[in-house]
Amino acid sequence: MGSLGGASWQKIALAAPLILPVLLLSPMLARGLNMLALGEASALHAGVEVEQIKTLTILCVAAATGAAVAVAGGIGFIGIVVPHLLRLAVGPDHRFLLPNAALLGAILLVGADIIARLVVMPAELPIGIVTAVLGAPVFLYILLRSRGILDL
Amino acid sequence: MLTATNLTIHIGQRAILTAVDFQARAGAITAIVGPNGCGKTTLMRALTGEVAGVGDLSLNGVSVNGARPARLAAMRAVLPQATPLAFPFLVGEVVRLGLSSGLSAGDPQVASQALAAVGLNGFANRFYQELSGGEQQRVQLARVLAQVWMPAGPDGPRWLLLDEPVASLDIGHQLMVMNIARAYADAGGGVVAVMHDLNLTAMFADTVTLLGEGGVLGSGRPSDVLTDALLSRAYHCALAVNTPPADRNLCPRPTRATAA
Ligand SMILES: Nc1ncnc2c1ncn2[C@@H]1O[C@H](COP(=O)(O)OP(=O)(O)O)[C@@H](O)[C@H]1O
Ligand SMILES: [Mg+2]
Repeated sequence: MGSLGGASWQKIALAAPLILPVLLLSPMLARGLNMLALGEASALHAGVEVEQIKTLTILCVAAATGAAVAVAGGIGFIGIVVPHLLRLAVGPDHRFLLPNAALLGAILLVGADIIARLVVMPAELPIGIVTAVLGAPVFLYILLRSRGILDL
Repeated sequence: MLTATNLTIHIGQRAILTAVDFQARAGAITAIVGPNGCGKTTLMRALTGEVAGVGDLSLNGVSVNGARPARLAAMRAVLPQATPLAFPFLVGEVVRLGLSSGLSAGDPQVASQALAAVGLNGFANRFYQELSGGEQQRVQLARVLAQVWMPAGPDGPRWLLLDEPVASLDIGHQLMVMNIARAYADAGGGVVAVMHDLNLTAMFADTVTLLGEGGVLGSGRPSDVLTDALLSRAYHCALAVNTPPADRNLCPRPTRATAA
């Protein structure tokens, strides 16, 4: 279920070379991802190198997620809830969505870690349980509420 | 000039269009008409370079199939028959997506001017998904207009490729959209539009290409192509042009081709 209990500078040093470049690169993906919201054909007509953007995006996601999971284990719901929450709050423009998702995701993860360490002191709850208990209802709420507008 | 020579397009094993030659010139509206499923959208997708390797295609002398998407995006914008939109974008954001793809990207005024042109003044901060079908269609048209806002530039004419631009619009907005196309062509741009309404086509198009039976049935001035014989053959029913129906007297038709 994942844990931040084993965090060390060494692990950060291992993960950072994969995660940081993706964070820095993500603004370059924003326009292409925005256009892809209109479908691949419209993105192509608007000048987006569709295959290139898709490949780059998948590589970025694989690198950053892989590094994070390798260090902390699988921690669910943060990744699925945060972008949806942000779309409701600041809209779907990826220029703001991508950096904001990184920030809010980090904030929620630290918050969940604090809860995981406090509720069953001196033991530590697996953090994935905390994120699932908090995240699942939020996700359901978003899903039900935004059905109409998202056209899901 | 938009030229397609000897286009043959298969989908799966089936040949949808065979040996099609198509031409459109800047400064004119070229309409593509024909019955449902005859390949109008397919031809349009070929003209935009979306389906590659189907024949010789050139736009302003540039070979469409070899060109980078950004190069083509600076020359022409495409309105698909239907456009999905995955996320809750605002109307203004959708139009700015188009604007950011073209050569007028530096001019922030264009987004609101494009919305005003399609009669959606003041809609910029509405959610796209909350609009009616006809309004959404016009937002997409505004997006496409914003991409090629100047009908002509130092590099040559720009092009609007529109797949059924008036399909879900009322008669007033149909005229509004066709007049936008007219003005674009008159200012030196090229317009290619797939049309269903033959009356609007006859009113606005300078050239008509009639598709059917897997190819081009006729091409030329509307009066030469939209004839009883060709239309009856293409649409598989007896049709007569310039014959007002005797038993129906409610037949609204626009009085001026250049209504404001
Ligand atoms: N993706 C597809 N797969 C299979 N057949 C298709 C596909 N797209 C279109 N067709 C077929 O090609 C023909 C032409 O379609 P289309 O160009 O969309 O017609 P229209 O003239 O109404 O725009 C139709 O018979 C349609 O069934
Ligand atoms: Mg069609």
